[in-house]
Amino acid sequence: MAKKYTSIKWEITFFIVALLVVVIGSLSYFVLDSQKNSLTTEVKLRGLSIARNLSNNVADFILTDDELASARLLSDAMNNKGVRYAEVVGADNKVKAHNDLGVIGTVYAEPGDSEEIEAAPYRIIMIHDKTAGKIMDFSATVIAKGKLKLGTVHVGMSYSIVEDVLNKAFINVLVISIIAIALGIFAAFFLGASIAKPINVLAKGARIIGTGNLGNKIVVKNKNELGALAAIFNMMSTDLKNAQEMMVKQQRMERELEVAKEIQLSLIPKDIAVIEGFEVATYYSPAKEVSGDYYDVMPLGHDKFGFVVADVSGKGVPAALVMTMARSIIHSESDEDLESHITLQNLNRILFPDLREGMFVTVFYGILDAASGVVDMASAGHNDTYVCRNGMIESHNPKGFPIGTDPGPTFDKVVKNEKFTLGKGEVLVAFTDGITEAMDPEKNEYGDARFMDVIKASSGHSAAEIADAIVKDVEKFAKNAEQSDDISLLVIKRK
Amino acid sequence: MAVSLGERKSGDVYVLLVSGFIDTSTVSMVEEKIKKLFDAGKYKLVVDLSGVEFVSSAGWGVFVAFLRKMRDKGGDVKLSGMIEKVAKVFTLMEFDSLMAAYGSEDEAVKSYNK
Repeated sequence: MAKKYTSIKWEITFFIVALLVVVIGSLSYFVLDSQKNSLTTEVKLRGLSIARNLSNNVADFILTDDELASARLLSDAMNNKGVRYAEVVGADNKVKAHNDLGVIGTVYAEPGDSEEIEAAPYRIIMIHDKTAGKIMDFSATVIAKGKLKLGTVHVGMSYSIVEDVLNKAFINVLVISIIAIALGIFAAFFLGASIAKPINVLAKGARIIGTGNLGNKIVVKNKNELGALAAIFNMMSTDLKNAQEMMVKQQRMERELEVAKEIQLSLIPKDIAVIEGFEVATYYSPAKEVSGDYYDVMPLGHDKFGFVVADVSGKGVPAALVMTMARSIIHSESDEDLESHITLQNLNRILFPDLREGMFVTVFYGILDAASGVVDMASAGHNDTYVCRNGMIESHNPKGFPIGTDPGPTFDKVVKNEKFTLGKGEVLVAFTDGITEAMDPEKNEYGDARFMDVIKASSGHSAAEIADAIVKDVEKFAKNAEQSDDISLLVIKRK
Repeated sequence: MAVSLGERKSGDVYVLLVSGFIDTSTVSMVEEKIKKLFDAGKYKLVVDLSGVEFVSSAGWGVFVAFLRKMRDKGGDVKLSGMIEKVAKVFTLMEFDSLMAAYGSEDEAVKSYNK
């Protein structure tokens, strides 16, 4: 069930209006109330003083029955502002004197529609007259000297004036309150809107990002918390976009490396040719960051076999592709009648134009004549090739620099081949520097010495056992350190 | 692994001083530096490697790549001060038949004036 959505502007408006109503209402009440009290007190005081004055002065005239004098007193009293009537009621409850001469002599009767306000020290009642409005009636006892009660003085003060003033004041307060509340509503509404608008902008911006459009920026001009929130939002948006781009790049790189590895593994021969009178063993272990080794064994015909161990500089798909090219070219260029260094010259000339700047390939290429045991080998910048005979290791590395460093003329001049015979029980080991440069956790290298030692130690065994011994020795040395470079190993032993 | 680069001028020969490790993570910095020198018309370059502990195949590739470019413009890339381990790989790959290497920066610079 979706939550009912009410804009924040309504909440703010409601809150501010409620606050205004309470504040203005309370203020108005107190103002009006205090005004009512002070006005009422004023009337009371005046009424009481006139009544008291009258009661004090009229005593003598009542005793002497001086109607004229009484009338004059009453007339004086009537001159006071707000006095509606003044009368004297005798002890017999008959009206002895009144500003309205027609009432004199009648029996005094308290007006019916009235309520007592005060009983002592002077009696005050509030009369609700239909024509004259509210009248405050003040009674003061007329006492002769010696405490003889002669009668009561009644003075009626108009209260409707007070009521009028209060009503007018009330209307003023009401008008002001309404204006204030109306203004308050507008102000609250605008305040609410001014808060809601940037929040909506933020919400919209967030929704856009949610649809995948990362990097979307929002504009909020407020220089307050909302502006700060918008700035942070924009930073987050940029960060998200960058993170996404990095992730995409990373994935692309990983994918590329996967493809490169697949390409490279496809180049490694699955089955090694069987050579009469010889044992051939191979070992290949790619490093995590593919760097492009490969090896190959190619029957050339007439008991001749070509052996290749190669190492490409660089990594990833470009290196893997260079490998495939090199392999194809060697396959087509190698020939039982061509000396090993000539094949390398051809390889260099054909491959060079296709190699990216700075990319090169080191190659060991050897041709074995299985009938005679003669090895014709050449090296294009590759590491030494070892031959183990009579318990000693010979290093063979005819001159030649890597493929791809020179287009032809200099390469052809420099590269040489070497021929020797592999005798019975003698072992040829071709490899890439991944073996000698294998490192242990303390970054020590396996090195040539250890390598030569293990070859010597295992040379009496089969080629497969020799290869196995080498691999185990390297693994033991490296312990659990990560393999940093491809390892390729080719062992040929004459039986 | 990190690499730091400095440069010096000796007449019309520019010497690039490198120390640290030149491997796949740092090789682009070296490449950019040499490219800047090449683009600025400085074709007589000596790369002093006396502070370098290791050069990967990618590193060698950079020198080889600019070798031809500089030579085509009448200049060259000469190396100097390689430590034994680095010099061994240099000779093993037989780059010594391709480019010149000297024991010290001075010798390399002087060789331009011969």
